Amino acid sequence: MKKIITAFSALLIVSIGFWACRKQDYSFKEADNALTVEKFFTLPNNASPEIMRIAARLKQLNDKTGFIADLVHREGLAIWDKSIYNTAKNHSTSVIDVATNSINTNANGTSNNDTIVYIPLVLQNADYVNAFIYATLNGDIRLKLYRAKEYANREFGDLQGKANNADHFALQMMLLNEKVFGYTEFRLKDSRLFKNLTAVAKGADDKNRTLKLTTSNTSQSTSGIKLMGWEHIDVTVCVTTTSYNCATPNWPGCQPVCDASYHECVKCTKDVSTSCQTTTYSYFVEPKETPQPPLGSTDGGGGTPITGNPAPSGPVQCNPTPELDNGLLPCEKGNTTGWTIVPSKSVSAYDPMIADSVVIDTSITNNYPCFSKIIDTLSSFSNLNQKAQVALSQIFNTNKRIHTTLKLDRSLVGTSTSAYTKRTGYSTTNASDTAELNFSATIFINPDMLASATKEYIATTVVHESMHAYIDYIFTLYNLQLVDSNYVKAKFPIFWGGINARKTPSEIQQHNLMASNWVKLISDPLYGFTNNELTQPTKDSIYQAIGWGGLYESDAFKGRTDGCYIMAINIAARNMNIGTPYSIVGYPQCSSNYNFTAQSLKLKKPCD
Amino acid sequence: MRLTNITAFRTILIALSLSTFIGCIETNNRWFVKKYSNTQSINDSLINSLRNNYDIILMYNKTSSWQPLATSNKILAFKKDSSYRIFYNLKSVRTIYESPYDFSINNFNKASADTILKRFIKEKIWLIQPVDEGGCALINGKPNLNCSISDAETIHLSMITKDGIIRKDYYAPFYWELECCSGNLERQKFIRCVNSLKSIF
Repeated sequence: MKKIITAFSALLIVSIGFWACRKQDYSFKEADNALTVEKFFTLPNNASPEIMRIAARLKQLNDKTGFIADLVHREGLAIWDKSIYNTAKNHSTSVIDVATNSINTNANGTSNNDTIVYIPLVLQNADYVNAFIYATLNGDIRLKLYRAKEYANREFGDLQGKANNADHFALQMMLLNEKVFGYTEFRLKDSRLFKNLTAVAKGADDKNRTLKLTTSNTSQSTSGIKLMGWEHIDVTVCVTTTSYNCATPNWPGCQPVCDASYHECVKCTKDVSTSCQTTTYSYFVEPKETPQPPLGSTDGGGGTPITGNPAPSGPVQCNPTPELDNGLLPCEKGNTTGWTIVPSKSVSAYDPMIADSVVIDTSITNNYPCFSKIIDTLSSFSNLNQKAQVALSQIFNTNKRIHTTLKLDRSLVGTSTSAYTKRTGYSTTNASDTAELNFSATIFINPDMLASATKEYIATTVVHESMHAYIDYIFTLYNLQLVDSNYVKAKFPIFWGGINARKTPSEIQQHNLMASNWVKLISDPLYGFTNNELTQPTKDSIYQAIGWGGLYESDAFKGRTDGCYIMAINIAARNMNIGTPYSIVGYPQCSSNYNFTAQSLKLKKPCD
Repeated sequence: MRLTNITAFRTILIALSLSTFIGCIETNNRWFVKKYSNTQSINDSLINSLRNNYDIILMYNKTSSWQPLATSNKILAFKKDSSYRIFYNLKSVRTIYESPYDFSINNFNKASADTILKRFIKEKIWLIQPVDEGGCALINGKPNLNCSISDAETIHLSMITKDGIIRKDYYAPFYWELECCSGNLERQKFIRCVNSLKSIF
């Protein structure tokens, strides 16, 4: 008995110890998963009956196994309202012949129609379709998952052949990309794709082939009209041959080439020739699943049946993005999509009538009417040095593709933060035109500052934040490969060498850049305000001091001997009601008492 | 039989006491502060004074490029069986007639304070790794073009004892987590600690 109790006690110790020390799962993961699932099943208000049926079926499967969160993580969120619809004859044969089911000859067959819905899946933060759900609706619903990178598991090149070969599959992915993102042009990297369309250009460089979706059906699909029946599209494949002759360093397509005899570089010339061929093509359609071909079979199979269970393993399943562990072995090299997207002009088409260079939120205009006048002065001030003109006009005026919004952030009240800036989005309209990047940034302003700061301080704060937006904009151009490294180096020389060139510079790097190069640029616009009470030298001194606001952590500021004076000026400019004499707390080197006030410095009230 | 039962009961009691002791040993020992101390000293005489007078201090404050000096300090201090909630606001600028800071201290419910301390310990604040730009500068190895933030606040959390100072800093953690690229486990641990301490101020 005693032994039993002792053993029980020991067990109790271990259990309690284990219970007390167990790792609690406070994870956001469960909450995230719930949110993810909720997001996945959020249907558009005008969802079609087909979509509602498919979603209901997926929900049913998810209730059993909870696989949706994993599906979203690996394959992406469903973009329900960009689904493409099609119908297929419900044949009992395992292969549907496009040639006999084309739009012109669809009298073939008398059996019931299946409705096919292609639902695109897009990974978080991605701007392309990663996969799609292929739903066949008749009496029941059959669901399969197709990943873009699995196209190469199919046969290539026979346009008139099976509607489920690699070409049809690739085309379907492109159509979904067109539907979701508006892309209509794709560069073909895999020479096996659409190879019989390039007969016109035999012998041309396969690396320069592009595919364009050009039919009216395509444009219908973008306007949300359901495409029913054996729809077909015209596909134009063009072969562009580009050649460069010699180079100058400024031409991104060339490398500098010098004549060995004279050691002089010669100018680069670019020769481009293009030939195209258009062919009518049909959608991707899988044969009726009798029998189910093996996964990855080149005989028209492929796709993963969605049963709610984890994806079955098999020799052809692999992880095409090894940097994201999905439990599968990495795919062999080369198992990527055989096409890349060429951003087209139809993406977020730019409308100058609705594009605003600067939007001042009503939260500001309703409460601080004079703020708009300050922005107007900044926008129209033209007597700036060249860099200031470029930067400010990019942000405020000239470049109407940069959308800057100014808003109040009431959560900043009581804090010393004057303002901060968020990049809120971007889109490209033309890969070859740097002026066609739509870029959005929002500057959030502390209401305290608008209530108590001078006009000059408010203005420099806005310019300071605009500089962050400008740096962000230039690096976005660079990261999208709309400009080359020389372009960025010319603008931001100090960023090179010490940073990863493909990352937007950190806050402190941006402040170091501003402090080293742009303090004058930031303060220059203040000369746009009329102030006849200050002599020019005093004005220069005060305005430049205000230009240092927010740069106190930069190396250049720390190296200055007049840092305390600069801070004292900024304190007076930031707070019109400051009492004197005052001292700066927390900086032992600034032990003096200061008598600067907004009034004594002749700085202006926001409405002056 | 009666004696056996008493022995067994005693064993159970010992077991319970032992397990409670084991459960609390980490909380009381605080070996990790010395081992993982990452800050040499604090340039603030008042906080140094608190450090000398309390067993353990949890502190939360913020800085930004506009105000690099942490001015509004929210502190939870422990001393033996008591705990205290402290507001310590350093004035960044003051007239010669003013005190350079505001300070207030109040008793705070020990059980609630212990819950916060346990949170810091359970999240192993000493092991939390900071991530550059919230870990969002690159997503899947590619530049993150969808979001970024400039001139936001950096949040600082400190655990201070006489043996050492553990200080962790995160730039705009709530923005990265809630609006930009959620999912960084280190950042999430930090946010949970921040939320637990912030909740009492």
